[in-house]
Amino acid sequence: MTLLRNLASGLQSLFRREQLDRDLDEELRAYQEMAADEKIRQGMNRQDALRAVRLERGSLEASKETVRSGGWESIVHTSWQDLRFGLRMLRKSPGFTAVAVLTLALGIGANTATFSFLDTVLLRPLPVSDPARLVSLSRFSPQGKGESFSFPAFREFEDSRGVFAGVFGFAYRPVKISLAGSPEAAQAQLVSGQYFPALGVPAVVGRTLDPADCQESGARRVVVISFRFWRQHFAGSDAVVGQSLVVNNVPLIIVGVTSVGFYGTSLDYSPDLWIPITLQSAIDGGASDLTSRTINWVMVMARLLPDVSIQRAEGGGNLLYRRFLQSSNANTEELSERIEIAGGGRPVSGLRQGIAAPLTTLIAIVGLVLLLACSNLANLLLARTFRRRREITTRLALGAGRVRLIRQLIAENFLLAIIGGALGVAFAQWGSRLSLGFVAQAMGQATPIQLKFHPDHRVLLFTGIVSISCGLLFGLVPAMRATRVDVASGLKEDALQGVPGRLRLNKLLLVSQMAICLPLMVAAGLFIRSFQNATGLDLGFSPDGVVQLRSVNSPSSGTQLKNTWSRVLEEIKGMPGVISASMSEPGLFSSSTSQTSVTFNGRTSLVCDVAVTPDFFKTLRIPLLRGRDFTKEDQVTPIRVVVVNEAFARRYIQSENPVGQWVMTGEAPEKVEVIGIVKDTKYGDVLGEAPAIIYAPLAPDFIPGFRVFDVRVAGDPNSAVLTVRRIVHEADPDLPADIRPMRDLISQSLVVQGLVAQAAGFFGLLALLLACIGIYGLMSFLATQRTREIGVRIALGAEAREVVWLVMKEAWALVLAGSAIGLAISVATSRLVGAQLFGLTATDPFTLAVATAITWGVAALAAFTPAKRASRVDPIVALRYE
Amino acid sequence: MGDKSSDLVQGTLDMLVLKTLALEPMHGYGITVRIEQMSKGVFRVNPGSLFLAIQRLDRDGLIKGEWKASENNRRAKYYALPEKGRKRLNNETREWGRP
Repeated sequence: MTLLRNLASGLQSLFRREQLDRDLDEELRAYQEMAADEKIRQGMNRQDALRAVRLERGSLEASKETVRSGGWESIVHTSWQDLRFGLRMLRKSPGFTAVAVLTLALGIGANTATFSFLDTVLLRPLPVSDPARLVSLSRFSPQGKGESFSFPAFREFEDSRGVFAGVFGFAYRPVKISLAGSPEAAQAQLVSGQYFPALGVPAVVGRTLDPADCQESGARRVVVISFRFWRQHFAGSDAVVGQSLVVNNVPLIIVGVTSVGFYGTSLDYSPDLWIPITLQSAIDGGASDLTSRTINWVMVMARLLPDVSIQRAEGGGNLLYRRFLQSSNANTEELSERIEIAGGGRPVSGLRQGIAAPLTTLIAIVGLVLLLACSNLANLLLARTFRRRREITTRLALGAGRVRLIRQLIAENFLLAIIGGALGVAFAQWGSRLSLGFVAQAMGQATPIQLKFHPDHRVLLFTGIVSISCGLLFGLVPAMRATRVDVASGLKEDALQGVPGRLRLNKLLLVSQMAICLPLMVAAGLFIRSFQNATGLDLGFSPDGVVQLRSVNSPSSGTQLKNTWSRVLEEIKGMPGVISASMSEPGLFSSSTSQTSVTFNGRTSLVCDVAVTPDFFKTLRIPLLRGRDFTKEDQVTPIRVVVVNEAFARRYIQSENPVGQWVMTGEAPEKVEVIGIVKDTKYGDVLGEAPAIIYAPLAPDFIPGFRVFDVRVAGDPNSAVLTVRRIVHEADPDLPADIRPMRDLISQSLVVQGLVAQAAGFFGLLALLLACIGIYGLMSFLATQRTREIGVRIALGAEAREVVWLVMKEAWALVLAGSAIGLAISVATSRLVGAQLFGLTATDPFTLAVATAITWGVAALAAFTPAKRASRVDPIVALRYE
Repeated sequence: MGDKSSDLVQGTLDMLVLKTLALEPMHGYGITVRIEQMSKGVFRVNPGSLFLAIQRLDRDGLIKGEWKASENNRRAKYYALPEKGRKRLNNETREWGRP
């Protein structure tokens, strides 16, 4: 009650201040008059009486001030005053304000952009209920990690009791939909019955899929659409439920729309459609993969039971999986597989693989940029308060309290921080759009739609905390120093005559700026060169001038499609400007991989496989080292011959002449002859080792799946893309295809490296810019401090050149000291960065030299302007300066 | 500011104001005179501290002010002791009386 009344009356006095002031004034006046009346009664005249009262009881204003400062609202009021005063002071020196705000905004913007990127890619959980209890399952075999399971293996997990609360499986399918007659590409996710119940995602309209929809016998032909799809294609109409949607020529009934924020479980794919997984063969238009125990295509996630740890779930899962393998007569190699469970409930993203380490480095880099910005700010503030020394001393002399003065200076810094922070968010938005644009372009069709910069409360909280703590922390020291003056000497002292000791902190700050800036420049150079190395890497084939076409399977009927594909290949070959063309399944860098088991000398291994038409090696310019290429006669089923690469021959055949050897390969193993050896190539990963690859001839009646065409053209691949698209469209208007220059596909696999190089380069330049502002500011200030000295020197006959050198010398000493420390830091931290570099070490002398040279050059430029200006001082003006 | 001694007697001044007002409603100057008289000139109450105490008591609802005409026809704000203030005064007096 009392507290509430206190609050109410405090608020009242804040908002009805004038009224209450008048009341208090009247009351105090009455008090004075009464006291005076008494004195008059005792015989004084009125004037003397009033004077006596003032002497005895203090002045009216002082009393008022005492009463006013009593309530809590007075703090609010004075803070408000401080802020308004601060704003006035900032407006009075727009140059300083602009530089300070910009400095802070750049530092904060860099941090906000990086943090929001980190937040999106690594931190933000899936928008489902209780994401922390979600886990995903993966397989580990001696060959490496597998993200998917066979359908029977998935069923084993799904039917288990006591390990998971809900297990669901899914697979992604790019599909063709027909809406109002025109075909369109869309992203679909085939999902099992527990997908929506286990994720806990509701429908906004209709219902989601349930286990009854996804039974193996009699799967219902239904589909759930995304909120976005619903708005785009159905204008958000409730009448959508019950409508038919044709997906890959399969008519499905729409049963519901998912809730607004749900985007599936991956950042890379945002499904528009969710379809029962048991409709796989209908959607794929091919054989059913539901019974195969060797085709791994189902990704598996699960919700943990309450009180079951990941370790226990993993133990239980492995028992299940082992039992499954034993029951399915798996060979010894398969039996050694185990599963691993990763938790966290965060969305999956290809971008995340291998981005955690570079992102950590980037976070460290932007942290340093912010530190640089802050030390710049501190330097600017130090110089500013130094210039305002006379004002501050005068105010202290007139009786202003030191605490109040510091509060005022801090209020100014607070304003700077707020404005800088707001501008920083704007910069961040722009920066994120830039970097996400880069990612989107590089990732092509798999555009991570969810990677959007939306400054949610976490990002804003982060920015707010960072900017305000920077402003206050780095403003406090200058404010403390500014108000710690001896009033008497401060007033006497010449305001322009510098006291050298006072500037030690400024100089120290400049040295530290150089010490931070140089390692950032070095890091920028290292990441850029590393990226160049990765881009220039020998892939084993020549992607330049090649256009790759990836076709999604859209069968009207098997034979018709086969004809279509053969016709497309023939027509592409006949196109003017086409040097050669081939078809394969899958292909190199085709974003899809395939493995097959190969047995040689009783040893079975899984190796990468590609089925190709005869011109494949010619088109990609993969040198044939021994033996012969495929011919038309080899295109038969079952296959009789294969070509292998060097890695395969080296690792598995280990014979003097591998050509002519026989190996067993395929789903139903066939004995085939090795007819040729080709040079090693990368398969889908630029940075990794070239894997062992087995090439089989692509037979005309090969089971349809997914086809890749590689087309080598004479001219610009980008313009060839259009022609190829036209040909495909004419051959079959229903065939959705993704056509891109092969170079782009390779950059796509280097998207993380490219992004890091770009960001590191940008932040390096930013650091340099900030350091320059620091040098320029401090040197201008120092030169002004020495105006009189320089005037005397010029009057005594010093030449302009000598004066320039006098100022530059001071700058150089600081720059050199800072660079030395900076280089030491670069070398000391080289091990941290080294692991992320490709083809060079973190102490690469060339990079260190170039970074140092650029930094010095720019630093010299920044120091030169103030030095030049100092040399133009008119001695007469300088000597008369005060 | 920084007037330590006035802080020390803050609670005391509040009590003195309450005690003064327990007799009859009174304006600010009247309270000052009464307190100075009661303490035989030991306490000097300056208007700043007094009105600060009054503002505090008013906010806590222990006293209630009202503008009235004074004995020599000036407008002055008279403060009275409502039930809550009286209770508080009694409580505090009892506390003080305890050995």
